[in-house]
Amino acid sequence: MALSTLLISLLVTSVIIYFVSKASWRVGAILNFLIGIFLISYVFALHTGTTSDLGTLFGQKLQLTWTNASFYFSAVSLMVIVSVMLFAIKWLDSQKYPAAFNMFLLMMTAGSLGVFMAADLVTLYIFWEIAVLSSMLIVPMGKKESRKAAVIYAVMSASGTYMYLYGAFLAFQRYGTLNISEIAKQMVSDPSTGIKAAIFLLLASAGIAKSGIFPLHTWLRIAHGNAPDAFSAVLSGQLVKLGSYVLMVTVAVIPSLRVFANIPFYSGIPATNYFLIALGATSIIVGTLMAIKQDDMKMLIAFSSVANGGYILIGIGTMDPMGFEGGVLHVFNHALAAAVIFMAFASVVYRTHTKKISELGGLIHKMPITFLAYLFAIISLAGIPPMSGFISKWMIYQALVRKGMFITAFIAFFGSIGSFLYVFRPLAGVFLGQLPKKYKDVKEVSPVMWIPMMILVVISLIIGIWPFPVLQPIESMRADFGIAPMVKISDPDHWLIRGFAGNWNPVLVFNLFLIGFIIAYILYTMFPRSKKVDLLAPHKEEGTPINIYTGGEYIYTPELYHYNTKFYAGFERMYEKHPSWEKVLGMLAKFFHDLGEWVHGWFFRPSPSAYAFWVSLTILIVFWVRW
Amino acid sequence: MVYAISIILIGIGIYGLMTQKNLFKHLISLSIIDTAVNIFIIATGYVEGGKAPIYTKSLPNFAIGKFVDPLPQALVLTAIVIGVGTLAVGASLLVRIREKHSSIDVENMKGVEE
Amino acid sequence: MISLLIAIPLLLAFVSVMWKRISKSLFFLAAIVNLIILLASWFPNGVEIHAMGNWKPPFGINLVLDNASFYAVLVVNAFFFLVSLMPKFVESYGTSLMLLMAAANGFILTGDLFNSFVFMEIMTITAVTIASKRDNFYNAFKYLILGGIAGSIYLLATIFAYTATGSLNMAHVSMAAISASSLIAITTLYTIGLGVEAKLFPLNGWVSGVYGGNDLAPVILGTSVSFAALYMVGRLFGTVFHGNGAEVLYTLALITIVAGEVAALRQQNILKAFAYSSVAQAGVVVAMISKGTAKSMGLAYFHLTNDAVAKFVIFLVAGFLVYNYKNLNGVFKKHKILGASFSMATFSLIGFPLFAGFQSKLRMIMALFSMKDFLFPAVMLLATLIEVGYVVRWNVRLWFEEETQEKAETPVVASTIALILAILLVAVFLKPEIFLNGAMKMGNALADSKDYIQGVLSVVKGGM
Repeated sequence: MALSTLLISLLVTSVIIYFVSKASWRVGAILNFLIGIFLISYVFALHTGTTSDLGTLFGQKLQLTWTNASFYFSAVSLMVIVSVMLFAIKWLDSQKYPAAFNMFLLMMTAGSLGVFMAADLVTLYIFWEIAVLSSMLIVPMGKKESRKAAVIYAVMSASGTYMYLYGAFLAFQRYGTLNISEIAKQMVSDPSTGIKAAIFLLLASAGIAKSGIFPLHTWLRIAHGNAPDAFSAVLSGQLVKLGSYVLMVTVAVIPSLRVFANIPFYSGIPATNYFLIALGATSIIVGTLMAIKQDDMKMLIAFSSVANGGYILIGIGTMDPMGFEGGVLHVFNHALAAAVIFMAFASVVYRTHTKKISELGGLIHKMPITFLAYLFAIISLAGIPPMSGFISKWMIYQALVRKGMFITAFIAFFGSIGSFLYVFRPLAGVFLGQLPKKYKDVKEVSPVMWIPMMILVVISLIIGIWPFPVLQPIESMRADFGIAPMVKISDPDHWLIRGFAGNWNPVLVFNLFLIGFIIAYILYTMFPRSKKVDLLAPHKEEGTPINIYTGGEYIYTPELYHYNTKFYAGFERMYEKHPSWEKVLGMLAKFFHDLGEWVHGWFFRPSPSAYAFWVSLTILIVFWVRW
Repeated sequence: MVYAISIILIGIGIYGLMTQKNLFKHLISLSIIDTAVNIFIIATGYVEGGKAPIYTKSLPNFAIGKFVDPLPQALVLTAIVIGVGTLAVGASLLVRIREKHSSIDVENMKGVEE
Repeated sequence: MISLLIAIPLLLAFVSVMWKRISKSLFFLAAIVNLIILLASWFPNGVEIHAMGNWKPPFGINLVLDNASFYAVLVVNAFFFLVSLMPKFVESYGTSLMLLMAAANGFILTGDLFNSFVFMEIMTITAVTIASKRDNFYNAFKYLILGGIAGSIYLLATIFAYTATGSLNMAHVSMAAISASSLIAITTLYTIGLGVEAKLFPLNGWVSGVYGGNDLAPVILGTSVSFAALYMVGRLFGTVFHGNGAEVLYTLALITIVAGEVAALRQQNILKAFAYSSVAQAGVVVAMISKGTAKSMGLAYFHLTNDAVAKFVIFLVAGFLVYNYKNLNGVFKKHKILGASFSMATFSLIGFPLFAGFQSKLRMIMALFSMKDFLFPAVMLLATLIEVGYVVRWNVRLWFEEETQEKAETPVVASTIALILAILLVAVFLKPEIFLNGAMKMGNALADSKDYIQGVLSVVKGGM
């Protein structure tokens, strides 16, 4: 099947899926899942270099090509999407619009695959918008706030997209082609730095908006936090990666090091790339600090996506072989980790109907498998060996240190430590601690829901031990983009990843961890177990558990005494008066609203007198100007 | 001279539209502008000492270059008719506005949706 | 034969005054006969003129049918036909609609400046009566005053043109050498005179009140009449005055785009919100026309056609909702087909791929870039960004908010028409030639004033 046939038939199928799902949403969901499985097998069978025409639009050929990058990003995306499709077979029974969900999920899949395959800027735009449109229509299916979230998501995404479109046509005007590799070629020989930089930044802004990089990151909190729970996994695990893909296209497919060789800024990195890296670093700081103070567990991980988007951007932006591989590998790691975390949260919400950390607790006893999935996912997210998340961060640090970018490296370390803090908060608040009485009947979710999580966790673990299957396509991508390393980075024959400051042997590390775990387990069985205590406030109906001593006082607001309230109070106090970027953007939105009010009030509402006034004024001004 | 009159009349019309609060006065102002434009049109066709552009056997007083342009007059006739139409629709609307909003004064009208 | 396009609706309008009961059927008859006439004279690919009373141009009044006026008349009559399919919607406005139809056709077809003024005034007056549906008298009155001022200024411009050239025939005026200063006066006055109907800022104060006041006005005024008015902008500034005064149009149009979109953003009334959106789209079209090349004008009318189709659906659905429900939250759960058509139309408005608006918007941006105009695309994209904001907000509100208990019957004909038009929008995305060919022919015809002059002044074909 040609690539274009595949995408078009996927779009058509999505509409059919809607009508099937109208009859029985479960059949629709299962069909979706089967299509997803088919897509995975299809993607793995494709040969790079396959091209296919999508048609001609205003005299420009729209083309799809299958490259190593398309393969890598598509495979990662499908892994996330297919697990969510499996997850949804059961989870959808808690949703109001299962049929529409199935349709838009498949449509979004088609859109994302199209983005990864696009060989020219307009094809990319078309599929990009399809992906945005369909995902934007899933977001408002959540709770009440999700309606507003959809609007904010759409506007922020559009602001990036339209800048991209402007850049695309600017490139077209200058180079006479929309084909990405053609443009890349011509940009190298174009003498005008200003226009090149403008095209570069305009194209990159779509990626900035989509992957939640600093000035356009605020939609992540609202959209990921309020979207239907399982869809947050797709949003954060997959859709955000569209942004990373576009950033990679602008930085690597357009050979930024050569294009901007005349404006080096620091350590061989051109100013344009450095600007992106600075944005990425800001995102890490903002994402981490904001994640730490969230009480809503989904918003917490949404901010963590901001921070991780920053890592990816920094890694790719350096254009250092090590950094590039690390950044691209981080796409994989974050996709898997975020997907598992959001699915775990979806399971928790599915059973408990709340996403506030302070209303939960002790679910480890009730939902052990979900807990395990979450635990492994956060280990990966925080970048602790032996999970795969460590490797990519390690590679990014290597690159940063080698380039001597100490401030950025410091920020990256800071973000990493911060991530320990924020991933621990839901762990402690949701799964550990006391189980509120009202959740005493909560059960583990059905296997249909935990199997996809566990599959992703196992993949992540295996890649943590033996990362070479994933590094392999990344290396071929890197070779495509002509980023040559000085040493062989991945060296499966010696089980090594070679960095400039030491090598990493994931198998050895895993074995060490395994030994440590076994020792710890032996110690755990040897020493006496802790006892469970049940501390209840006697006056509260049903007995709200409070695991603190109350000093003989009655407690009327037990949730304030939940130990997860103000979890990191001391730390949060250090930046509680921080300036809010959301407010700045809100002011911008309000400005447009006020301007509209003003226009309406001055020009449209008034009596005929004012109309006569405006007409005469216009005549006078026009005559005055023209004479 | 006639041009000046028409321009002054247009000015009066626009002044009326901009200052008056009574909707009927707006309509009158509009009518004044109409009239002013009509005067202007007639003036453009006027030729000093020109004759009526009528040529028949019994009235052979026709000299090329010395006749009044007939077209503006025809135009004005049409424009006057259209002006009357506008006035009629406006007046009928005012009746209904009076019924609905209990006044045709911009400041006293009730229940106006912005 | 094309004079029948004006004569038939006019005649039937007079008949319907005496025979009120069947005015709706007469309207339908007029619309369908007009469509048949148009289909019979499909794209003349030249200039056909019909001299009234057999007065040879440049004297007398003549009707001109070339590709430009044909396409415009076709679009206008198609929308009238769609409206005539919905008798419930027309109510007692059959007579007005027929008059409006006659006036719009005449306005487009006429080759005489003064005649176009007459038709414009008739159009304004009938539009005012339609605007006064559902007791929307005050806004209709405001429209009348503004339309009256515009009419006077249009007339003044016509007289200036007459004194400068000694002719009222458009082809003749186009041919004549006009001194620079009178040209400035003429084009400026035409800008103002047409600006009211073409919804140019700040002359478009009437739009929100009239479009927001009832269900019929926006559907017909926002599609047919604005198409006719914007056709005249192209005809006058493209063919007759060879682009003189285009900079003023361009500037005003760009301001119009931004003003329209920001005003739409804060609207709580759905009809008004999209009324402002149609203001902004008119701005896009006028700015595009003012670029003056055949391609830019063709794309402008392509965009206008897409926009008019989308707006027809939007206003149809919105009008139904506003006058059947007090609270619009989640109403589309009850009217899925209306909802789907509305959403598709709004997405086409933004220019999302899969819908017609994408084709026209991208083509316009591309054409502008190739003309080295970097400002207009930026303004257009900024406007689209604002548009995304309110379009998504309305869609989300109408689809996903908690629904209320109110109930209303789904109008079968209206929802069928809406759905068909929405599907047409998708079809245009897949095959833009559906509208594009005609629009490009129109653009070529408008830009090619030589052909027009020659066609009108040398060929005389029949009379009435």
